[in-house]
Amino acid sequence: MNDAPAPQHIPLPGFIRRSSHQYRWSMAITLALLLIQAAVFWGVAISLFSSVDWELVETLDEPPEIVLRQIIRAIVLVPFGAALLLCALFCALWPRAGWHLAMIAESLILLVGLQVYLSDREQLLTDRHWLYLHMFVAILAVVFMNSPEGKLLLGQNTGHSRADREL
Amino acid sequence: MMDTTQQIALLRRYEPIIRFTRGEEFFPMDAEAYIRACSLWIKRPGEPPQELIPAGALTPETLAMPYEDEYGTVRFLQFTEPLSAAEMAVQALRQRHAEDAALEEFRVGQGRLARVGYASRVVDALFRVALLARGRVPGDAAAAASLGYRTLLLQDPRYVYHGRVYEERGWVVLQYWFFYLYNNWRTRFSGANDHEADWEMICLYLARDADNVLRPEWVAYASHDYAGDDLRRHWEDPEVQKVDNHPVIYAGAGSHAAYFSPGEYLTKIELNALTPVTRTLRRVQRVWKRLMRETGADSVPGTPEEPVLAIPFVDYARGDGFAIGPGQDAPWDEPVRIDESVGWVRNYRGLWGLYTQDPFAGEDAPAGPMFNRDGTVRRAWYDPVGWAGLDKVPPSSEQLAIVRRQRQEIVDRRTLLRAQVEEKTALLRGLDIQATSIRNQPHLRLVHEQTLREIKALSNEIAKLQAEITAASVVLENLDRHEDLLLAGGAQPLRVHLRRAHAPATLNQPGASGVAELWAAISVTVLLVAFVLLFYFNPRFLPAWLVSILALFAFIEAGVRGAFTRAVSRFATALAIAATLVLVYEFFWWIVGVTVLTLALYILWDNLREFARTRRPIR
Repeated sequence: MNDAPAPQHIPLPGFIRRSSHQYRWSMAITLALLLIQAAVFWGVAISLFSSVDWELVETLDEPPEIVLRQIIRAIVLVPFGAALLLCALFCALWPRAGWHLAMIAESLILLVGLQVYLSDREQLLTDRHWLYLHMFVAILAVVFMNSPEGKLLLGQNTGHSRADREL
Repeated sequence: MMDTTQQIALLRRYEPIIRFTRGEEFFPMDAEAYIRACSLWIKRPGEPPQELIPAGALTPETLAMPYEDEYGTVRFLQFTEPLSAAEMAVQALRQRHAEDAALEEFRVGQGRLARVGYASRVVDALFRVALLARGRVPGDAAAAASLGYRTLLLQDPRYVYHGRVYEERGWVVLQYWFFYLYNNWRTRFSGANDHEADWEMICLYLARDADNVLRPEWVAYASHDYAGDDLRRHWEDPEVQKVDNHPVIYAGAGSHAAYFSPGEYLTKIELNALTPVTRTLRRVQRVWKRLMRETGADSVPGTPEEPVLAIPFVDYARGDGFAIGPGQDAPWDEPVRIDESVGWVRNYRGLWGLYTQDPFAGEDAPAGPMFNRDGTVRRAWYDPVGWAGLDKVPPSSEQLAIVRRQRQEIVDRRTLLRAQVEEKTALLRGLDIQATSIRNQPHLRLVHEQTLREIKALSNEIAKLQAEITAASVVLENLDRHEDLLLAGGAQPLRVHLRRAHAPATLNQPGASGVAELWAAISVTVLLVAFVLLFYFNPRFLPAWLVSILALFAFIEAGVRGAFTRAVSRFATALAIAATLVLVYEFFWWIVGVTVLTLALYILWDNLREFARTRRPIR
């Protein structure tokens, strides 16, 4: 006779134990992705704003085009950051609505990103590396939110919604 | 074989009841009365149609005269003559002032366009535009046919069906053919087509029981040229409504298609011209569903696929109007028995109404009960059993014998397989002994290798035979269970043969609201106008705007139809895939490098973990 534990007493591996907290993990990952994205958007916007020589801009009647472009870039990024923050807030308070809003926000980011990629070949509006970074994080967010774990935020209807049954 | 009197008696015993929708204008009539009111025409290739026999001179006997025509020639009957201005005015007044209560009683239900997606709406718009160019029944034909039918009905107020009794493979098939003077589905009920003359049919399948008494077992209703298992129901199926022994048919308004249950049926018609496109779309859909792990990705084999890019039409089979049959508003008159001995059935292969030369054929009149439009014999005529998928189904009284015969065949096969296994096992063992005995003899290397190959092949063969024996045993167990069920007189599965049975559309489904109806009516036009405006006023960001507008429309539609989550998910995923392709294109070698590095690190980590585990002392 050996002293091996009975099968029911063998502790479960960590990833299985965690399954009872899956919803909380899904929420945390979604929030983290959204907040990171918002932080990147606003971080880039702030860095762009701070790199502008505002004294020079005030003294000149018509600021140089390069400075104007920088300001426009920064202004474009702010609403995306705000939208993502709003999505994170909704996800925390009303997860189902938040999931939908977040998916729409990610779609907008990807759509604008693709449009800029296709039309702004001279890279006047964007710095390509930042553009790729935004796209990459948005892809990650979409992939996660479309996964069964990400869809836990949709609540009880996940996988059994009327739409799913229809199509 | 039954004589004519017996056949008529049998037909009458099970003659159906037809319940029409309010507003129906045409009812089953005697085909010979129609023939007498028609003219006979011929259309030879490259020539305008010519009248062969004028109206009034045509009789069923003259129509039955055998004839020869060159290839491409079409013979057709014509009932309606264009209305005069006065007749048109009378007809318009009649409708406007609701002289006929039934005409005014029909109210459309939920619009057909609100029940389908954009693609179908666009195809529908194209189909309707095409109707202006292709051949169709003239606009006043329906009105003229209505007047003509009323005149005939005044002269001969009878409701008649044509009956055929056919015996084949243990079945006695009762075919009830209904002849309608006109199909006004398009002009009166927003359906797919109009045509002169309409032949509809149902089949009742009877079999002899143990006491040699004929009993009905199955019934099949013809509907829009469909064929196969989905057409038929078991006689005991609750869906088959019966009054005494008379099955109830719910006839589609204008189309006269036959249904088992009252309701509004959404019929989607796919155009043959779009087959390559629909095939591609189906493949894309299947891949997408599998990729997204959506429901329906793994459909049951043999299940017909949902039509894509199909034009939707609603068939109103409400059954709230006039009813014909035993104990109904009007009884059937003496049936007209038909078979190949009837001249006009056998010899007239032409169309029974106006030949419009419609390339889709929907506006051309049908041929007679025996023929397709191209003159070939209908399957429903020469093989009524196979037409409803009954060729594989034995009558109830034969089932037990068939189960036992099938069981015996499998038992015999299994015995044979076991004998083969034993024989091959003996051979295999001999070969193995041989291989063992010569394994260390260098001069027998080739023989040894050949023996090993034979051993491998034989071993595989035995494995296959064993698998077949196991499968046969499992089948035998199930056959035994089935036999027990039959012996105990247990309930037979009534609906297992149905793959996609046509069911009435649910009226309370999402999209039944007025908003959905309005949106369905205007959406395609708004979409096209938006495209044009965009093209002229903002061509610079055209791709993004196009995608945005399409997405906006898709979201509105999805919201209206209660499928918003799926629409959002699909749209985001599609964009993510496009963005991923961009990143792969831009960073291909980086991605390859990172992947290889990750793989290398994973292998290192895995190996080190295993190494550490082997060094850990066992407690």
